[in-house]
Amino acid sequence: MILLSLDIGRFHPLVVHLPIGILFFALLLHFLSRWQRTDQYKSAIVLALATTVLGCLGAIASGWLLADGGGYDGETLDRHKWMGIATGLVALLMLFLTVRKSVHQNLISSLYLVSLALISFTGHLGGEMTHGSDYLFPPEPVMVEAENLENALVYPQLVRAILTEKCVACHSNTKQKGGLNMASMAGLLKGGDHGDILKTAEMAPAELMARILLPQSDEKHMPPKGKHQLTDEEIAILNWWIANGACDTCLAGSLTDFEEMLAILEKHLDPGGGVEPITDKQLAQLRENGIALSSLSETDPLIGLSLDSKKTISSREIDAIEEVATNVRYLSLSGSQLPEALIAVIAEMENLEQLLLPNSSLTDDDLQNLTDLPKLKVLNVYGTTISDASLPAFQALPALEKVYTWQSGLSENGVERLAEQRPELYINAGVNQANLAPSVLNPPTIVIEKAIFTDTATVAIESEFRNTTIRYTTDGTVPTEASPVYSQPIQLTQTTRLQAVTAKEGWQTSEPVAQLMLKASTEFAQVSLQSKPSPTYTANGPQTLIDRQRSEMGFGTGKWIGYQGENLVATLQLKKQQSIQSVYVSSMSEPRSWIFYPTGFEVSVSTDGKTFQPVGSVEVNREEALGVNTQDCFELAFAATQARYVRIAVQSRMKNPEWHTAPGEACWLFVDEILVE
Amino acid sequence: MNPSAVAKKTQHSDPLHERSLQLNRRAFLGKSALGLGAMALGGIMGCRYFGKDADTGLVTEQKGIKGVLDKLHHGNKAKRVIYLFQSGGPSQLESFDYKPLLDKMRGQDLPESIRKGQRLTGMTADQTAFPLVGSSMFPFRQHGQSGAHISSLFPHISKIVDDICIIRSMHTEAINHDPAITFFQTGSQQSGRPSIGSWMSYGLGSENENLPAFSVLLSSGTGRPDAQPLYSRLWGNGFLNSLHQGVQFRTAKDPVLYLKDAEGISRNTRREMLTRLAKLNDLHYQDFGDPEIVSRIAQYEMAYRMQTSVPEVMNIDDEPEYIFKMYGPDSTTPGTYAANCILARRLAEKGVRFIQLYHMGWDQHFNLPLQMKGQAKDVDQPSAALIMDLKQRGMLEDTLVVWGGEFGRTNYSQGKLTAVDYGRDHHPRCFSIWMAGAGIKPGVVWGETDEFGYNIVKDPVHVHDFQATLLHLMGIDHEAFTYKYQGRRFRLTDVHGEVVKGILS
Repeated sequence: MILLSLDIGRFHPLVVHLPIGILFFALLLHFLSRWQRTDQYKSAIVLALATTVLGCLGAIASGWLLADGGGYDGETLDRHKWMGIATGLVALLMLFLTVRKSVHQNLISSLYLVSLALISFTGHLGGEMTHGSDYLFPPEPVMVEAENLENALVYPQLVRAILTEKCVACHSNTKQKGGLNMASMAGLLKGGDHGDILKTAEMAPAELMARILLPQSDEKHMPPKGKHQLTDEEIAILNWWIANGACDTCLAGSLTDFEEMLAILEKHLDPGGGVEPITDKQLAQLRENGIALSSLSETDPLIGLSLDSKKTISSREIDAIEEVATNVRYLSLSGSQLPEALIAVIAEMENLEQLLLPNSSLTDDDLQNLTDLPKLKVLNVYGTTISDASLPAFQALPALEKVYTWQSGLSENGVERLAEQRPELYINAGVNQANLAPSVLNPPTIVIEKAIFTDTATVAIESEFRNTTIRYTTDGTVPTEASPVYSQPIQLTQTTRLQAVTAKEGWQTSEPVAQLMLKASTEFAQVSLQSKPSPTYTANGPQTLIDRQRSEMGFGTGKWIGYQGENLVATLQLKKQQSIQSVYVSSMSEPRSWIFYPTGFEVSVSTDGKTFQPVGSVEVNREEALGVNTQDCFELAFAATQARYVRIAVQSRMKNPEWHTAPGEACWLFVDEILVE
Repeated sequence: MNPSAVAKKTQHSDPLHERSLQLNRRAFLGKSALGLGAMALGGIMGCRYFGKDADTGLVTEQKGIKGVLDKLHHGNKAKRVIYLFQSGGPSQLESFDYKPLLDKMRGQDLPESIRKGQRLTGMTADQTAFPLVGSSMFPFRQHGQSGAHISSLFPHISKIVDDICIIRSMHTEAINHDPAITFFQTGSQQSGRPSIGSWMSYGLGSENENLPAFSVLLSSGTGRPDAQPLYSRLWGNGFLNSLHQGVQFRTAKDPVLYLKDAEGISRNTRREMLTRLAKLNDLHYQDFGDPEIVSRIAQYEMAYRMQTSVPEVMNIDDEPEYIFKMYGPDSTTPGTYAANCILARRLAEKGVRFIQLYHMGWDQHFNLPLQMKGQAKDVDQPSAALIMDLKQRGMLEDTLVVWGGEFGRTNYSQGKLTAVDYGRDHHPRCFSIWMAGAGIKPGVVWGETDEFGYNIVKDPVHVHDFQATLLHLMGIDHEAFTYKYQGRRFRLTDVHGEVVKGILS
């Protein structure tokens, strides 16, 4: 199947070399036998000639098929074809004469020479069609004077040279792949099998450009993958020429955007900018001296050197750099000491574009000596001591585009003057701190051992940000600038809602962070639950509510008592009857897990455990958004009452709210601790 | 039983005997083949590994990491790379790809004509509805001279928009985290190939012999702290020499694990031990010629030098106050993205070639509005500060900065869309990243997605294209930079990739 789908014609170049080789072998044997005056090779010669004839047949047949595919110049093809056939016929004749007896050997010898001539010439024609007619003797490139680009003829002197080098091998007078001949203006205008290649339509580039611009992996990309590709400059020139109507007699200066194209044209005609690549010896010298080549490429004669953080740069190193001075485009001496001799070498670097001297020993005098660098675009003097005395140097550098002056000795005023004098210059004098909006500090962290304590508790407050002030309150208000400054851990002796913020000049004060520190003094005898919690979340039984331990976040800690779609009712029996005036209920909210804070709770008290008197209730109106997981403690204060039994009914929200992902489903209530004081 | 049969059997199954046979064979093969191979290698490498070092008298002395590329393929714009990897897949629709139509069609189903049956992850494949959701909670505004749209979640990045190039047309082949990150880092969805940084180290070597050429810093997001973990193989050397693996810098007491001397070991003792160990290894190398021995010695030496260089670079106490002000409130807290950004700049200043940050937690399957707020707050100010900081030092000229994750997120909600809550699933068909610095056109938006933000309509950039462009900026032709392993030549870009010329300056 694969064989069938192959184009047999394409095997012509393969098949054609077989008879050539064998014919040469026959020729060798023929003259060898004449020289040795022997007949012993005759059968071999016959076999060789017969194989040659067969090979010729194959070559002719495949060649015919290949030619049928088209794309080759008629005349050359014809000559190649008929001479190939003639070679085959001559070989056949020689076979015939060799087999026959009594034929004059001189006749056969001369036929061998004829066949040799035929095969050479046929081969040459074939090669011309495959590789282009100027393959053996490439034409001298048309010289364009770099100084006189304006008067260069765009098509003959620039475009044709590009096409000849990169396209004509396959699109020539002799071989016209895709029916396209790019060797002449006539051929270009005629176009290929798919029509015009130069016409630019709206929103669509000319076919010539389109093919060039396709990605290389595309099979329609030209030149095909593996062949010599066009350079960026060549592409730009072709594009420019086509955009100007593909004129064949125009002067470069008469085309639009000539000024913009100038740099590209110059680079095209002289890619290295007249610079010779550095030699292996120079390279070895640089490397011996430990000079890092931050840029050294196969295609570019210009290089980059890095000598960062060098306390001393020896004269040997400087000599090595001087050797390649004209090749240096990028030079980094970040944090290094610059000897005068090195400055003198840098001053010679006519191709230097980027000079990076941050935190170096650069002085005003040094910079004064560098004002003649003709191509210097980027100059970095950040962190150097140069002063406003260097302003004229910045103004003098002709090609300068960007300067970095942050933390140098240049004054603000000086930088402003420079900006006025050279408005096109990009000057970075550092981020203007005044323009930075003050950020909000992170809240401090309150470090506690236990949130519920019996005697006293020590609380520390820490801020991760350095040099900040922490202010705090213990009265439940949000700390202000008047609040006390935290300096050492705070001792607490009673229930306290501690709040703290981080503050710092130039920053926005943080959000407050709060921590409720509960003092538990009431002793309980017993606790019972009047509503049954979910069997999964019973924790350590009802005792959990009075164990003076608050749970960590997360319903899976095993320290929460949980109810789904139901209220919690608990009765706490105090060790002895006493006066009480507040109740705390600690709960959590994790809306994504259907857990919500209670809507409120009621407290009633009793001295005998049978008749309970309500003492008050509190409403909790706190609903957090999905994904916000918190825990909090809610307080109910009431007038001091004597009690032995306290009953607390915590009301569940019962159902997920409307905005929830599962609205109306029975939601959860989680409580870990109840305190009575 | 026939006694001779017993004897025969014993002889063949005696494990000690077997072992000694193997060892001999191994030693023979090792000596002849490896020895010859190493000699050939020495010839190719200009005898770097042969000939004794003048100072130490060792055959194997090698300082720093030397790159294999003697010359770059073309001139390089970038000397180093800082890659701010946003692990988890940040939503492009709440960051850099503005799609007003999604707000208009909020709640409506994604038309089948857009999705065209494209595969989904197991997380949304069973969903019956695909309600579209836009970014109305975090309105987009145009910023800078480029006028690029950026969401209100990134107010600081909005201010540096003229310094960056936003690519809105990234696309990848992987749909789940690990293969997608592995694909970005190594060019293959399956693990085992070298990470980009390792390729760089292999090709270009290190600039600073006291620090690894490839450094890695991790931080977790506050938006989603329970994020997908990362594996050290993401910065692994694959089949390249182990010298080239990324070295993770942690922010705990020991920045690099196992770097500190054990208690009671003085620096001198360590030096002496290493010198003697190197001599022994050197002898072994002369016998066997295994190049891994050279790497091992080099790694010991590098670790020794890092004992002083690492604490120096990790200590940010000498940074002035205004630097912290730029990088924001997290910047003095070790282990945060902000602190890591400062470290990245410090490593870049020290000549580290490839600095990779990973910020985890960008996987907003649910609770996107809240999580995204946290994530954006983590990275917005520090990322922008890093650009400004590099710029004021002139380092943006030759440093390439990349910000982006492994894929994007769907334009429809995963799970129920409510007034204040939704999620987004993984979306490999389009997402946004940004690049800045060396060789990148600043203030440019590249590529375009359709008005649903589902498919790319202009200038798609494949992961391999991104990788090719990255190598291009470092002076490397991605097609010519190969490593032969197991009989085939491997590339970072496999057999694909086109340099994205349109974003190059």
